[in-house]
Amino acid sequence: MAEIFPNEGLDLIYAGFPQGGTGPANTWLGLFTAYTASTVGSSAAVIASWSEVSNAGAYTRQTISSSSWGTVGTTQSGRGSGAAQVTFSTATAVWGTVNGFFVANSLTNAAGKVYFGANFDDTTAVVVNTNDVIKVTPSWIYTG
Amino acid sequence: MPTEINGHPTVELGNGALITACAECGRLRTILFLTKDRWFCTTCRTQGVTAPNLYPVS
Repeated sequence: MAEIFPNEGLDLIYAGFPQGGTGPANTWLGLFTAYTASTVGSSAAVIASWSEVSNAGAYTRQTISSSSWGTVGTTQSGRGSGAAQVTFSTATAVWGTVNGFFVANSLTNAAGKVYFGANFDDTTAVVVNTNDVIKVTPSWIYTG
Repeated sequence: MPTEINGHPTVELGNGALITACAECGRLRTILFLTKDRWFCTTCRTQGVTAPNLYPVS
């Protein structure tokens, strides 16, 4: 399993601290089809690099409210937190082969900037077919 | 669409939040699929729930 805060996501985080900006009330969870089930983009990745699932077949990014992020705890490699599980709408068309999820700063498909992207923890690509319903648990870790 | 199912395996996090676990293996997984009224991880969905209903014949 791979994960990354691409440069554009780190820039957003820096803008909040130590540069004093206001953190977002919401972030948005999306699914990507680029890379593989065990690899993610480079530091230079931008939203187009991730090849988000097309905005069709009832796929839309799902809102993660800031309050849904859980208590920060120690992990094997740093401090991590997970948000409440997010259930996507029933697929009304094939979404394709999904290799993981990302957390972005925009609701709009294929737009905005990615804070963080990761594969699913079982490093298995999933094919989301018509009538499938999936639930995703977003989480991330800051390593020290 | 209900997101909480009575009797379904869950794991409580430190902050009291309940996270749905795989109904077959009980693991917390990043992604779960809904099959009827149960959530399954990718592995259990393909190997346990929808295993081919075929038997070898000679």
